[in-house]
Amino acid sequence: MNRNDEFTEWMKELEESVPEVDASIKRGCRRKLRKQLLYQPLMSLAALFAVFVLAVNLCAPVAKACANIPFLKELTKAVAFSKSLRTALENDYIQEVNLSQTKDGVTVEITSMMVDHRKLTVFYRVESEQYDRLQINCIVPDDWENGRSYGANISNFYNWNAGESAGEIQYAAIDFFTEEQPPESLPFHMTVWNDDAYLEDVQAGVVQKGDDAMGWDEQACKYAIAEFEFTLEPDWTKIPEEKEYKVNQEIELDGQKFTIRNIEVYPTYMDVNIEAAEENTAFPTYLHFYAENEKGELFRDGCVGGCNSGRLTREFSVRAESSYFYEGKIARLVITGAEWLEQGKERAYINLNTGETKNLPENDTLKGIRKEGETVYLDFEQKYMMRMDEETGDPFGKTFAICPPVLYYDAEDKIYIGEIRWDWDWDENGNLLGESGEYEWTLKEYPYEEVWLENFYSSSWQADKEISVKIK
Amino acid sequence: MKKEEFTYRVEAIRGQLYKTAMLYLGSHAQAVDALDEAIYKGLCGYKKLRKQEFFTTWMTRILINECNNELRRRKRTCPLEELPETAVEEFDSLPLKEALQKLPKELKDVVVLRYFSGFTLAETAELLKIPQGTAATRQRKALQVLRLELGEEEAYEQK
Repeated sequence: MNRNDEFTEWMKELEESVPEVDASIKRGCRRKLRKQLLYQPLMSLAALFAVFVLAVNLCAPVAKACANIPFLKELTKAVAFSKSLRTALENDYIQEVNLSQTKDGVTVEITSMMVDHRKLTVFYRVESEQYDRLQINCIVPDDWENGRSYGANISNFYNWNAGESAGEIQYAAIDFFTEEQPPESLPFHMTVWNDDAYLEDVQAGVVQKGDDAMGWDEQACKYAIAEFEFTLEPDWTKIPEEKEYKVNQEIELDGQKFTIRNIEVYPTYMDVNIEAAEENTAFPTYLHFYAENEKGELFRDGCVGGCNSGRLTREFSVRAESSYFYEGKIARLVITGAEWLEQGKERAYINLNTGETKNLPENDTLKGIRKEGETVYLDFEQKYMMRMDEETGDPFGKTFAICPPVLYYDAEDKIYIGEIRWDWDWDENGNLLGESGEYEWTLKEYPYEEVWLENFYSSSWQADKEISVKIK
Repeated sequence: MKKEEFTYRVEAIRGQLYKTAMLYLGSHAQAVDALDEAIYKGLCGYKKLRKQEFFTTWMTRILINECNNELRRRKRTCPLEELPETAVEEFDSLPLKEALQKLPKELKDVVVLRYFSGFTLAETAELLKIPQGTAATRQRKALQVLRLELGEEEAYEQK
């Protein structure tokens, strides 16, 4: 066969194997909705978060004095919640910025940035004499005209209150889900909303507090006071090389097999890169683990900022606090549990007439179904889960709950966004009280008998004994 | 553009997008992943696309960016071996599929878009942000190295 014949054969082969894109489009729609909802400010959550941060701030150790960092005290307070950022700051890992804009009675000042591999942390402060309560949200708009997305997920939401948080430094953590180096010059847009106007509407019943059904764009337009457009110029050349630990070890977790490929440690976060075996029947939507260095210092899972791009893929990364500025090398990884999404249990089924359920998440129980006209209310109870408390070493020391999913489907596979209200009690340190909490799903104007809720997890697993991977 | 129109337009070019991803990445699973990612990003951005007549090149550019991301990631974990364009004998000894994967990236980009994905020379140059003359030179070199004798007819057949 000559080259041209090979070409023709290959083209035929490619034509025959073209996959249907329907599934890609549906997956895309679901992901987009999930992302919108995840990053859309949920008022009640934001308030809880504010309490939690305050509590941590009060008991966090004070960073060492360092005269050459402006606003050090304020920055230290802002990052008290994050071990990685706090340590990076203590090691002068910060770039100064001096950007300020005033519009319609609101001043926004960007004071500094932490520039890391595919991660940028932007510190800013907001001041206003005109308003009592504001909400601030930041985005990195994509360059869609050139088909270019920065893949930026921003973790930020700031409730500004003239009495409490005026002038306090806050930060937005931006994760770039792209292998490409983010550009030298980056747009950074901030929208400031009038929270008083929003609350007035809540009181008047125009919107409901925590109304998920109200879209991001709608909220931004309705309550926006001012929009600020900054151009950030992070110096990506000053980022030090990552520390890499090759692992290549196979582990079995609750019957699922994985290979831990390597650990990449960056100044403000750590990534553990993992490959799932093809025969696995469940994907870990959350992996509970910590890394320990030679000196016994622990770096726990999770991070401040978006931790994943919302894709369930065979090769994936889980993120932890960074050990970069600590002397000891990483000696081991300890896995303590996981939330699994099992194949075939991606959606829970509920018959709204009979109450029959299938594939509900393991810790969730349907307690009741109420109908008011065409609107259906589903009452659930979620038994809290336990996880290791890395601070105290107690293997089952902390209680946690999983936020319920927000998407549901009808028999035609049409996607809807649910409204959820949850009733969880927290103490002042952000710990859940009691053994279980309740949440209520609202299916607005849903006339059908059957519904399918998207599961964020289907079962939870806690390791009986420590699963430890030694790092050589 | 409405979502229904986006869906309709993506459906119309799905074969072209899949082939492009497949040829860039050489793996069905990774091509579908890149396609998924590109469609997701397309869904996020289609309302902001001002010149809708460029929908195909716009979607292809998103897809190419995704493929390049994957290739960069792969380069970090298991680098691909590229052969220099002067390695005539090595290229001759390989089947076309493998030879294409081993082409220097700038040659492979042109030949994939031009002959496998069916873009014109001008569109290929625009997609890769290179002058048309450069695209033509790279196209000629790539065909020479692969010993392919493809003309305008083959290129347009793919449309």
